[in-house]
Formats: sequence, structure tokens, C-alpha cells
Amino acid sequence: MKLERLSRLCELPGISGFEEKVASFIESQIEGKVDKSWKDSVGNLIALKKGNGKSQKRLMLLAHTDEVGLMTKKVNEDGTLSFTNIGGVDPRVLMGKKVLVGDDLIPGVIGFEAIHTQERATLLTTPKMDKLRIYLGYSKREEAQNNHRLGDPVFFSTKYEEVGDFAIAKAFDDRTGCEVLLRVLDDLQSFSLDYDVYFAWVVQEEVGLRGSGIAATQIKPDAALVFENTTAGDNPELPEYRWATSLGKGPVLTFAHNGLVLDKKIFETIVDTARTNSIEFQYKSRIAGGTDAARLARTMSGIPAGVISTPSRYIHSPVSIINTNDFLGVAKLASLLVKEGKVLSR
Amino acid sequence: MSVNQLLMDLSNSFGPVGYEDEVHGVIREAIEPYVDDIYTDVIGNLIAVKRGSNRRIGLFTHIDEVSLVISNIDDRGFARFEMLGGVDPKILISQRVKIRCRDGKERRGVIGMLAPHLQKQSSRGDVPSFDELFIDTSMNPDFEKIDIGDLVVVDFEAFEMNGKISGKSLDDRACAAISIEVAKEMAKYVNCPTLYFVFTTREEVGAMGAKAAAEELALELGVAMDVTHHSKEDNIELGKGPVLTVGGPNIHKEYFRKIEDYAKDHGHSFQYDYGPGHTGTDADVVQLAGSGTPTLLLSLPQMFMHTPVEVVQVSDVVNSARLLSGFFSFLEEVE
Repeated sequence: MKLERLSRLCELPGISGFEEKVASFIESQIEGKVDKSWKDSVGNLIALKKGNGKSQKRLMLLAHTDEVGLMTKKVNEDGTLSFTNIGGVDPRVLMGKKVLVGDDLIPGVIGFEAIHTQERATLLTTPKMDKLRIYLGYSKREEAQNNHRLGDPVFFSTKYEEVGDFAIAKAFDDRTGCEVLLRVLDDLQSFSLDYDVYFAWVVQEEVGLRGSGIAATQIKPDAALVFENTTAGDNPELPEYRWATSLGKGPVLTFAHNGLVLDKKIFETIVDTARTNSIEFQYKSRIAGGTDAARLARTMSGIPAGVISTPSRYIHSPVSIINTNDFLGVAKLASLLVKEGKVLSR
Repeated sequence: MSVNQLLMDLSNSFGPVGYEDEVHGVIREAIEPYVDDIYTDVIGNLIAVKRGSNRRIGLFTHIDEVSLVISNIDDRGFARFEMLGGVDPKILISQRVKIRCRDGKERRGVIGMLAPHLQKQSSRGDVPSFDELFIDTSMNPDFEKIDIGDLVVVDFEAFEMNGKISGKSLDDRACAAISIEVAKEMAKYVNCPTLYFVFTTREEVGAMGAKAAAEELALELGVAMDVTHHSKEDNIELGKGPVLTVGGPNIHKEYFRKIEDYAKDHGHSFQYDYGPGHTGTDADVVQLAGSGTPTLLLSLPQMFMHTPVEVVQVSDVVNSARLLSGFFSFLEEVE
């Protein structure tokens, strides 16, 4: 396996509001490598790697620890659990899947009525989320009530796998970003930086960019780089001109997305750095989707940020695919940007 | 091996319609200690024989699984497919699949769908039909080796859950486990008919496997076993034992009465199903084999049939095997 730590990150359960296991794992990985680290009240993990003091500026690197998932909301008579979504989950990706329920990760399945007994007319109709159930092997309400609390988080259970130049897993959004930050930190261990770098692994991106602003307020950075995972859309049903990004074309650079036109200077610095270092890259060619950069722009006096992403097919589903070279390109570009520090010069 | 493990091994093995070889391996290993002979016939059934009296009884369980077959593949590695057996497109989206290729190698695929935020608002309520779904095989360095006609199954590792097993092909391999358990249980009895454990091919596309074997074996009694839907409405539930189909044209009335009486007299809990016409199982063709074969149908309650997360209860498997082995020995004693 090429990306061992990424595999562990992706397999960790950590939906929005329940990111503790991801944060704890990252904490174990940064131990001894940073000058200071702390968890804040919402669960953001923040770490400081001090510079040599030549510059008073601060750079913030950011990735979100949460992934999309489900939450139980009702125990039914037959012992099954009803649920709602946390973050954007399409009900069409849920049927016929194994899921893990609660902090103890109890396995269950989201089944569906057998095709034999379904009405033909509705075979191709998407069922409403509240018509789906999690079955845990109980036959009575009491059995479920004894073992589960309402509001339990529900996680996808996909195992990480590498095939050729690709990796298949859940939660690449945004564990790829989490791993980019860890790689940058590793890379800085034998490097003298002129300025302070703050690493922020933030919570609750998927439910409205809720963790990043709080983290930034504690850090007060002069600029930020957001490392994300973004929709590929290079599917066979779309003509090439409609692809948002595609796998194998390198890191994705974003000039604008929902709710934000990104800082021109930082964007151009990122493009120049990729060009100068012969890192093949691509632009995100659609505006759809947003990142924590939109929150940073609305935090304090507006924190300028750049966004660099690893593209992923079938994002927000239990089975997404990335090209590992795209990811490595993002990590390489991230290290160069941090070491050169040009994104901080105004 | 525990029944739980046997069920999981059977479910995990790769056995699309007509390509059940890998399942044969699992069954051979499990049943070998308890039978006298094991062979495969021309059409591809695996048959294990336990010799006893002159009475010839056959147990039919199909071991093929509903599956997909590659029908087209483009130069980027996006493949289109057809289904073998009844598959609901709703349960295919975002599944990891295994593709068994002509060169004997297994390759990876993912059934994809356009991200919701890239879809037209109007189509978000629709499930893609088979014509719109695709298998992304582009991650394989040599996806061009994948060809039309290669077989595909959803990759789902079976697991235990409160006395139940969930897996991708417990229809009908959970019943194959019953057969294996019957072979094992027969050791407890002095009187034993000659039993043919027929693990049939191609049930999901028309049961020609069972037909061929039943023709060849000329049985006194054929017992087909298959899964049936868990349905509180129909009084068929997981955990309440085997389901016996009451007469109706497909079931031999006299043998049904015998097994019903035996079950009642010996304290076996069981449930009833009703077969007004053909039963949609191997029993349909077994009955018509040769100059006619008396046929019974034993069903195992199951949830979520034809999805990757089919569920059966282990105790139902064990109790089915106990009922059948006891009944076979009983037939020897009284007749």
C-alpha cells in the first residue's frame, strides 16, 4: 500500500459532529512534531509549527475532519432504526449497504424490499430517506432501545483499497486534506521556516462550514490554504466540456466557488508555483460546491485563502475513487507553497 | 467449521449464474467427510452422494447468485452491463464489484452515478435504469483485458449480526448450508436413505440445472430448498424455523402430510407457506423430471432478497437440517 496513513484516516468513523476519533488519530500522528497543539470547544485540532522569527506572519493550513453520514432518529416497532442525513447524502447510495451505528460501531444493514414484491411503477423512483431503515438483527423495539440511543451517528463501513494508481474508500472528502497537512508537517521537520505555520483540522465542514471560522479566530492568520477533496464529474454520461475536474490530471486549483471568488494573488501564486515546479494541475471548471475558504472570508476582517483539492469520483458516497498521483501532487504543491511562503506576501 | 462460518464462506464465494466453480470448492471441502461420493454433472451441478437404503431422495439447493455481465466497455474503462437474474438497480449504486475476466484474473469495479449536485434537479428523484448505470473499471491498470461476457458480482463480505448472517448470496447458499448440515446430522441415525445432495446451477435464469439432475437421478422424493421472503403479513418470520409449502400443484400431498406430521409429533417448530401454482424454485422442474418426481419445498425465511445484504437466521438453518435429517431417518423406520 502506498498511502498507509491515508487508508487509516479514511477508514476512521467521523461524521460531522462526531469527529473525535479522527482528531485523536491525527493528534497521535503530530506528537513530537509541533511546538504546541490543542483541541478547542467544538473539536477542532490546532497545531503550531513555529518559524525562526524572521517574519511575524502566520499561515494557516486547513482541512476538515468530518465526513457525511447519517444519524438515528427513531426506533421502530420492529426493532429497526429510522435515520436522517448529516451532510449531503443522496438516498440512492444507501440501499444494500452495511453501516456502523453508534460509538461502538455496531454493524447493521440498510436493506430494501426485494425486487420480487416491489411495484413495477416505482422501481426507478428514489425512496424518501425516511422510508429507509437500518436493520441490526433485532425483532422488537425493546431490543434496539437497550442497545442504542436516538441520535447515534451512523457511518459508512468501506474498507480502503488501492488498485493501480487509484484508491477506493469512503471519506476521501476530506481525509485527503487531513493527510496533506500531516505530510507538510513531516516535511517541515528538517526545514527552517521564516514564519509560523498553524495546522487546523476542523470539524463540521459538511453541515455549513461551521468549524473553520472558530479555528481561524484562535489563530488570526494572515492567509490560509484550504486542502479539500472535490467532485470529479468525469463520468461517461457527461460530455467532457461539462466535467468539473477529472482524475489523473493533477491537483485541482479553484478560482471561485459557491459563495466566494478566491483571493487573486494567492490563486496566482499557487498557479505559478505549480508551473515553475512542473506539477501538472487542472482548474475546477465549475463554480458548484463550496469550501471553508468561504467561511474564512467572513471571519475577522476577512482571511484571504487559496483552495487546492484532490479530485474524487462518486464523492459523498460510500465508495469514492481518487487517483493517488493527484493526491501526491497536492501534497507536493502544498509543501512547496509553505516552504516558499509567497502566499503570505501582500 | 461453525455453521456461521460456513454460511459466510458460501456467501462470499464468487458464483454467478453458470459460473459456480468457486462455490463448488467451498462445498466440497465442507461436505466431503460426510458423504461417499462427489461429482459434477454435464450441465454443472455439484452432486454429493451419501449411500444408504434403496430409497433415493434428492435435496436441491441452487448455488448460483444473481449477477451482472459486461455488455460493453469504452476506451476509458467505463463498462455497461446486463443482469443475470432479477436485480433492483436501486441497490447497485455505489457498490464495489468483482469482475472475473477471461484470463482468470479478478478485476475491480465501482458502480457509479453522477454526483447529485451535477445532476439536473428534475432527475434527482429518479433511480438510474440499467441503461444509465455503469461500472467504472478505470482504476485497473489493465482494464482493457475486461471483455463483453465477463461476469460481475457485488463485492460484499458477509458478517454476523445478533444470530443472523448478512451477505450477498445467501439466496440460496444458506440452503446449501442446510444440505451440508443434513449430511453431517445423518451420522446420528442408523437408518438412512440414499441421499443425493444436488447443488444446482442456473436457478436464477430458469432452473435447468435442477431439471437435468432430477432427470438423471430418478428419485423417489425430491426436496427443493430455497429462500422465501420474511413477511409478518404472511406469517413468515426469521427465527421461527423452516417454512414448509403446503400442497398446491407443485407439492406432493402425501409426503407433505408425512413431513408435517413428523414435525408436529417431534416438536420441530416450522411455518407454513402456500403454493397456489408453480413455486418459482427448483421444485417446479424437479416435479416434472422423468416420469414425475414427488416434490417437497422447504424454504428459509430471508430479508432483503436479491440485495447484497440478504439476511438469514442461523438457527433457522440448523433447525431445517434437524427436521430434514430426522424426517429422512423416520421414513426409513416406518416404511
